[in-house]
Amino acid sequence: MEELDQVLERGDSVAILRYLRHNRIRASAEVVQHGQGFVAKGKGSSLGIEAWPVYEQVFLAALDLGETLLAERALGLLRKQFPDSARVGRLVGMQAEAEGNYAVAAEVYKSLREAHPTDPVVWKRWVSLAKAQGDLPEAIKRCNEYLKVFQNDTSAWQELAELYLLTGHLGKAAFCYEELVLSGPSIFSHHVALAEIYAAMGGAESLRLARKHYAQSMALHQGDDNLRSLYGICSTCHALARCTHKSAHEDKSDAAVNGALFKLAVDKLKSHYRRVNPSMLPLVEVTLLQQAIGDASLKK
Amino acid sequence: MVELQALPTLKILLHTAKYPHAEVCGLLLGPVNDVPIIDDAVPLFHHITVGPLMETAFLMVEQYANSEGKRLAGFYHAAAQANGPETHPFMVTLVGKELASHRPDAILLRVKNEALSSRAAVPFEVLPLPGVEGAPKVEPVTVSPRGIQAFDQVSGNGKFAACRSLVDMDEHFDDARRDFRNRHIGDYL
Repeated sequence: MEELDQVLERGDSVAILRYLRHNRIRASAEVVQHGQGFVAKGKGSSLGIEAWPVYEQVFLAALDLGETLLAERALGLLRKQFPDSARVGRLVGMQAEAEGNYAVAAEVYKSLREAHPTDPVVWKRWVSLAKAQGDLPEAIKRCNEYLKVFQNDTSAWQELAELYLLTGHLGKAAFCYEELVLSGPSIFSHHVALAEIYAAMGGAESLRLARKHYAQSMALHQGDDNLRSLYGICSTCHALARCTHKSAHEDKSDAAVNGALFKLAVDKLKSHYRRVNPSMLPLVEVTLLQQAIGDASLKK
Repeated sequence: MVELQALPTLKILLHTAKYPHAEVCGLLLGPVNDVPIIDDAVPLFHHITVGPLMETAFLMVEQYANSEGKRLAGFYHAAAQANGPETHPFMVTLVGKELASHRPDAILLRVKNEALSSRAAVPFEVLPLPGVEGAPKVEPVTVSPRGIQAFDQVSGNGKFAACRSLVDMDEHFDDARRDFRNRHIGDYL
């Protein structure tokens, strides 16, 4: 997977649009810049069957930028080609949402849900509508209804977790990620997300759960993009050391594990920065010192 | 009266423009002698962030501030929705508490999404930190026109490279080569 910048530099509009689509990147300014020409040409464009996902992509980007005429044109091309489609129908709803016509959007989604009762895309717009209107409790309710039917939808569980975080329900957000870890125990990023939530909950029991999941994510994935786990371990071990230090039942073996894990994470972080961004190493070292667990050998 | 200088103005606007669909936030820096001037900003997150990463980001920015002879002066926040409700999102409350434990006199700078598209009004306001006793009252803020002009120049007319070049802490945690200190942004002024 190439860096986005390299792809953009090459200036091949079709390739850029394809890259953004496949990687689900929301770069609306770029999409409009590279895609509006195809929409203007309409049937005369050279895209073949790729035209339809491109029109959809340009439509969504145009909504983001408030380019109402461009959006209307892209939508028109799609509606002409796919008059009974739920996928296109939901774009009509989104256009109404973008204009702030939530009542109209609700009607659109209602009739789509009646015509296509098992279509997940339509259902998800129904959830998003509540979120767009700022009614997070309603969005949570709808998302839960969706998940009763589509229990394996990973992104829906993630969305629900985020909704719970936005409303301050850390425990329920943790439950969502527990479901994700259960169904996909080898996916390291789910362990990281779950660990973050447990760490935020605080208290020795949650912190130990956080530490467990951070460690599991490190065991699953040693790559350069698991910095969050390393920082998470440092912060969590530090917090655990502080909160068990004064407890009556100080567990010596757990303290040893804690210290060892902390040191491992610190060493990995230092060697990572030394390798990829040495100019930031002093800043990182000083930061980690703030979280040191009272072990003199760590304060180097 | 809080003075928001050109550099932080530009960084905040670029951060907000880079993630128009997301809730964005960051920290504000000011000179050590406690005058109500904001002279730099560090963009933090564009996802809801709780727990260790928030704490780590704070510690890192605090160390960065110390190394530059500055202090943590506040927190900026732009809600996800353009016309969303006025209530403080969970993130703001979380950060408010964290910030208050470091700097009780810190300010909360709200980006007024609704004022961003027109230039008639100042698109920022200073609010007291939520849930903090004895937090400073709402204060007027003067914003550097040079910062806003620079933003219009580098990101108007479909130009997006400047926005894309801005790095926040979220991106740094994804790729440590990306530097959230954003030293290059000064070149745009």
